[in-house]
Amino acid sequence: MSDAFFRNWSYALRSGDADALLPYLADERARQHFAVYRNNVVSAAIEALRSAYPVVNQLVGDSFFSPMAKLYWDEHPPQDRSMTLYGAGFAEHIASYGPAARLGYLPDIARLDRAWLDAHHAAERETLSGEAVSALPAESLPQLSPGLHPSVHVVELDWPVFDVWAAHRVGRSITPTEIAPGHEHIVIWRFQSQVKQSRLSPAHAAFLAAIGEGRSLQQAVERAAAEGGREDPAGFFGHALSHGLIAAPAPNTI
Amino acid sequence: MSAPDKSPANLAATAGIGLKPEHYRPVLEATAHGLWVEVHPENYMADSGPRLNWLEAIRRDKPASFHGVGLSLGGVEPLDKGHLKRWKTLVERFDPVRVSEHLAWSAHAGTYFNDLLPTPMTQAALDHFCDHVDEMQSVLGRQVLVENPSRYMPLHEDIPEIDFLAETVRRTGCGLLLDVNNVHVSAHNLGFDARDYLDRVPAGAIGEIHLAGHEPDEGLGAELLIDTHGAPVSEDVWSLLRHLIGRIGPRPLLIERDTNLPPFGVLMAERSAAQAVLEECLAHV
Amino acid sequence: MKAEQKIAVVAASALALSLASAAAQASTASASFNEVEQCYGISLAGENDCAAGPGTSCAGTSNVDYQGNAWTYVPEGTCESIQTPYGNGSLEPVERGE
Repeated sequence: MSDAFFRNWSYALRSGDADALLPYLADERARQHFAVYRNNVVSAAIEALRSAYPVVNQLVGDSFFSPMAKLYWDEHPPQDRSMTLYGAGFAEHIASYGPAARLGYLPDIARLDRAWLDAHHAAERETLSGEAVSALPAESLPQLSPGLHPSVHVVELDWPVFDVWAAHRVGRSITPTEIAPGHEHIVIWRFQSQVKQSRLSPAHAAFLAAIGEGRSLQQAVERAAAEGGREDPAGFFGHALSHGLIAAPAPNTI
Repeated sequence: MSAPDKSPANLAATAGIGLKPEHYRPVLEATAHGLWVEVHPENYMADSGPRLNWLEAIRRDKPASFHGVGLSLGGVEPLDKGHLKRWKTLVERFDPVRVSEHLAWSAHAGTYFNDLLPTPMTQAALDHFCDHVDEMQSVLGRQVLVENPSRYMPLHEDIPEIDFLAETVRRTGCGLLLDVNNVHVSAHNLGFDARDYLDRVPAGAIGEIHLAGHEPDEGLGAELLIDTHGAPVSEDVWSLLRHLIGRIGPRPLLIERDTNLPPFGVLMAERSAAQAVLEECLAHV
Repeated sequence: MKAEQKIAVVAASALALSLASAAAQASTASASFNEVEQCYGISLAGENDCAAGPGTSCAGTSNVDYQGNAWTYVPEGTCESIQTPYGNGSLEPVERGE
């Protein structure tokens, strides 16, 4: 069995052109049956993207979503044998997809859908509890560098679409909305087996991002302060502990 | 080459169902005698998360079988070592009662097609396929069952499919997962006799049976049957099942449903019908 | 100790105290996160399967190539209720252009 069989089939599946398969067919009338394989391959990829980006799909509808997803498959076919996380670059794809140009907020919707998916499937890790922090000497806390739970995604949006996205995601009815470009900071994470989401102030987003980079609490507080505002980053640290955003440091670092 | 020492786990010859996330809770709570479930391990290869938690909860009191779709055993390229490693991690964690894959290919030159594509039944393909089955069995430390595919196009081939599978069993010590619906669909589409095929399957190798529904092609109609897993099991397939079970005796039997997913009760009613075929056979022994 | 250092020390210990205080309240403050929303349960997709799903021959023509012109498809989902400075995106197919 030669490699050519698989090369020619792969080409036919990618292009839809079955001419190269004719030498392998015992009955040329079966040529049109090739469409079963081709359609199944392409629609399986489209459906995987549709289920990974459900709010994008709801916003534009199936008939607009499908060719947009098909073009993504043309340019980025799956490589991993598990389709669970297929489509990591879909937001960038949407941003460069001409027919979606008038929906400038759509890439941000895709980024939120993606953060949800990644949070849902992220690795588990023990979270840091308020009790564990209280057991530490207070004077050591500013130097603590705990890190974030692996499911935590801090997303900075270029369009304020969080409410629109969240309404779709939790099944609330969609009310007519006007939106214009503007920044929003969102955190999406998994806590007690459920994906959760919240809007953040720029200061709190900077605080979490710094923790995620492995900075100390003191550095994170300084980052937050640099964003201005009147919030109390230390108080926010308490909320982050309560909601499972902060990872328990490895035993030897605490 | 011989099969690994570890013989297949004990799984009673009862009926199970393909596990869909929509049915996690009713499956967890179901008390039907002998109910077992099957999953595609590819859908559980995330680092963590709710799906894995559900599978773990369900696995506590129901046997689970792993049915892979992504290894591309029927391809010409070496197996994807990373994928096989993730397989092994899941096998160690969940201790599945059956481990199976397909006589098909699904990836080439770095692209995964996510479909069960036809391997031509040639001598060269047989050598590659047996090497791949050997490797899968040896990495997982389990006997693997290989499943006959649904086929839509007749290819130039040297070996009838059933002989190809029987020779794979002889060379590798693997078992067979016999999909009766696939036999029916392929026999119809390629023009061979389904009963003759079933009569030639090496009975002792069959470790599991699949049942599913098919539908006529939207465009070509009844000329081409599609293995959609989107309809109830057809009367033709029930009849083939009774014929097979009459010859080989009961085996673990799985109802697969992937599209047009019915309410759980409807699926379980079909599963009860499969269970009845098995029990009827036992009553006649 | 210079005045600036003194201020720094005081600030650091104040931070230590407020972090400790936040931690002490953490376990009892679990409902107070701003706007936490919980999404429904689980991702339902079983992305890998072994059925031939929606792909059928459609009399031999591929039904997944969209006639090579994605521009003829107009968004028709809930985006119709969202107005932006550039419209709602769902009015007319835009001309193919830059």
